[in-house]
Formats: sequence, C-alpha cells, structure tokens
Amino acid sequence: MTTLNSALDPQSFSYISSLVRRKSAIILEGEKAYLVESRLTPVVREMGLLNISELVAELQKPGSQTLNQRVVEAMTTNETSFFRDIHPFDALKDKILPGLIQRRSKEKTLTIWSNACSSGQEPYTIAMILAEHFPMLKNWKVRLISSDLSNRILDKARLGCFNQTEVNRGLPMNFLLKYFTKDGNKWTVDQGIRNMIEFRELNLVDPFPALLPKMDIVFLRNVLIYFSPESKTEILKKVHAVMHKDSYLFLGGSETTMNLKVNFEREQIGSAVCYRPVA
Amino acid sequence: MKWYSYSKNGDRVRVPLVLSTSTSTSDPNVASVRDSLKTHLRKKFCPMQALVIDDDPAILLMMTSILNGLGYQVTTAVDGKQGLQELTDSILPDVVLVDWNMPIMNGLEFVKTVRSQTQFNQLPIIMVTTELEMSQVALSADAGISEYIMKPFSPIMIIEKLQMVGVLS
Ligand SMILES: C[S@@+](CC[C@H](N)C(=O)[O-])C[C@H]1O[C@@H](n2cnc3c(N)ncnc32)[C@H](O)[C@@H]1O
Repeated sequence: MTTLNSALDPQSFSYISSLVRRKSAIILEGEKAYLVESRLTPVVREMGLLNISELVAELQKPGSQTLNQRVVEAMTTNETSFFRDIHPFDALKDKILPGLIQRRSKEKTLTIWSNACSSGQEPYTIAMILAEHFPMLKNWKVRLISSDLSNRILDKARLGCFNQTEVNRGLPMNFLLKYFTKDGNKWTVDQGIRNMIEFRELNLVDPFPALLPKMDIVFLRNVLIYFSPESKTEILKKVHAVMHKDSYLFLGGSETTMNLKVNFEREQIGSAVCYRPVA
Repeated sequence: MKWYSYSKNGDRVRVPLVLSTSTSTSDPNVASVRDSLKTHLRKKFCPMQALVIDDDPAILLMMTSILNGLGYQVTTAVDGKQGLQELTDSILPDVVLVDWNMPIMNGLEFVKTVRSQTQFNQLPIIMVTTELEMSQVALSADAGISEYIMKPFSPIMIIEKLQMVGVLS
C-alpha cells in the first residue's frame, strides 16, 4: 500500500506560488505553505500521485494546461454570502439604482458587473434586488455580467443551487420564499432570476475582452486583498477604463484605493462606501 | 427617557444618548472614531436587550454567549408561555429569538399570540429552528416573524439576521 505524503518542500512551494501569482495575481507568502498543502492534497490524490513534488513535475509537462488551471483554482478562496456586508446593497436599492434609472431613462440601458463572483451569491443578490424593487426595468436592456477566474466555481454559480449553510447566510426570508424552491436538502434560485445573469470566465490579470460594455456599477469585492499593490493598481486602472463617468465601484469591506495611484474618489452612501471614477 | 420598574429587581432607566452628527465630516478617520465612540457608549450605558426562547439549555447557553459578545443583555425562557410572561413582566426587548418546537407553547403559537397584541407590532422576532421546509418558513412568515434562521447556526448567521432586522449595525 502506498502512503500519501503531501508535505511540501521549498522548491515545490516556490514553483506553486510563482505559478499562482503569474496566473491569478494571488500572492502566497511563505506562511501560506500550510494552505498550499491543504488545498493541493486533494488534487494530488485525484491524480493518483504521491506528493506535491510529483504534482509539480506533472505541471511542467507539455499539455498540462488543464492541470495548471486546476491548481490555480484550488488556491483561490471562494468564501462569499448573500447580501454580504449588507450596506452596499442598501445603497444600491435606496440611492444608486433610483438615480441611475433617472439618468438613463432615455437609453434605457443599465450594465452591472459582479467581479470575482465566486459561487454566485453576489450576482443573485443583485438580480433579486432588481426583480423585487425595480420592476420597471423589465422594459430596459439590463445586463448583469458576472465573472470569475475559476470555471469550476462558475459552474456552481450557474446552477444556482445552494445548501443549508449557504441559504442561512444573509438571505432574507422573504427572498428565500419568493425566489427559491427546495428540493431535498438543496435550494435552487428560480429560472427567471438565473436568466438575468450572464456568467463568464474572466481573469482580472488578463487584458479585458474588447467587447466588454461600459459599466454603470461594478462590484469588485474581496479579491484585490489577495494581490500586490502593483496588481491592484493595474486592475483598478483597467476597471476604471470600462466605467461610465457617473458610475459606482464597490470594493470589499477591508479594501480601499488609498495609497494606490488610481483615479477614484471615495464616497459614502448611507453606511456604504463606494468609489467614483474621476478623470 | 424610558423608566422600567421590576418587582424584586429595582428600577431601570434608559436615556437616549444623542451624539451630535451635525458636525458631519467627510474625514473617514474622524467618522470612524465617532462611530466607535458611539458604539462604546451605547454598549456601556444602554445595552440592547434580547429575549431567547428555547427548551434546549445548550442552545440557550450558546445564544446567550453570542449575544453577550455583541453587547446584548439576554433574558431566557424555556417555552412560549414563559416567553410571553417575560415579555409582559420585564423590559421590552429589542429582539426576540424563538425556537419552534417546544413543550407547553410552541414558537409558532408564541408568535401568533405576540402579534395579536398591537403593542408588540414592531418587535423584531426571529424564528430559530430545525424546521427546513418552505411550507414551514411560509407558515411562520404568515404568523408574523421578521426573520428565519435554520439550525444548526453559527455566530455569523445570527449577526447577519440581527443586522437585517435592524437591531445591529
Ligand atoms: C473571496 S471570493 C469573493 C466573492 C464575492 N466577490 C464576495 O465578495 O463575496 C474571491 C473570488 O475571487 C476569484 N479570483 C481570484 N483571483 C482572481 C483573478 N485573478 N481574476 C478573477 N477572479 C479571481 C476567486 O476565484 C474567488 O471566487
């Protein structure tokens, strides 16, 4: 019988951390070795390998793009919840959407981007707010684009199927009742809500697709925190370039544009903090 | 100012503490110091009150510890009837967390009784239960609960629902 030894040698750690950094901008400092071990052990097992250094050898073979992607995805943190931090969604409902709906009443178009959307709780929250509070948008061209680097997590997001722990986190009872159906021990978001969202794979470190429309609202929450100041700056500049002049950017609770050379101004809306692009 | 009198328990006075926000500031540091001062003063002098009703002592213990950690003073009861007694005898809590399945009077009956009395119209009530079917969520929503938490729960789930019913910022 072979025993699995996933212990991490320094060369393997350095190979993995530079691969992950190159492909996703995620920084894995030395103290994250335990994380690499715990996240990659299942991959090692799945591949029928003995340890992480064997996995590193596999990663270097030609034609191993899928495995490379799998390893990068395994190193992402997918923690998320419905109505996460609540305040941005209050601001969205009470101030931002009513204002934008007035300002865009001629074009009747609205584009919202939920970035690094993980398993979809964030875009589903936005979609439910639109359906619940802004029925007039039915006649508008509303695009709710939702992206993540990880195809695996996007597959889960597309399904819109959540377990008890997930629906127990931040989802208002009325929305659970109105927009979900329960089957066994899973709750699934209604097709109508799912149809409002365009899920697509997008890596923030890559050049943005040329066809990306101009955004009215961008959610870029709890992802920059994993990146270096240089990567943050570069990504925020690219995001700035696809934002309308009077648009809004939300970052995560512990993220800010402070000390980064980017053209955003902080604005407080109720208890929420958002960022407005300046020229 | 609110004055509460308790038999065998002395008097309790609540004075709303208004810290001026007229010197509104756009400086995030000043605003955050002001906010944490407000929270600190409020916790020290005017703790929020929660009533927790559950027949499982382990749940009462866990819930009390979570709520204490959030700055709440907690009163407990082991069934709906005792919960009603607490509501009428004691200080009006800021929020009630109630289990569904309990002897003597269950959570659903408790909610219906409370909601039939107009003075409790605005009282946030959160049902915390092992009942998971949509029909049961709907039943308790119709009875007038404010939010629903499925057991087992973790502290973060309690925090999020307290925020949702507007009793935690
Ligand atoms: C902690 S989750 C945040 C989810 C959601 N935005 C929220 O705030 O709840 C971080 C997500 O960022 C994604 N991510 C990490 N690096 C990325 C990159 N370079 N491009 C796009 N998404 C990335 C991960 O796959 C993961 O799903």
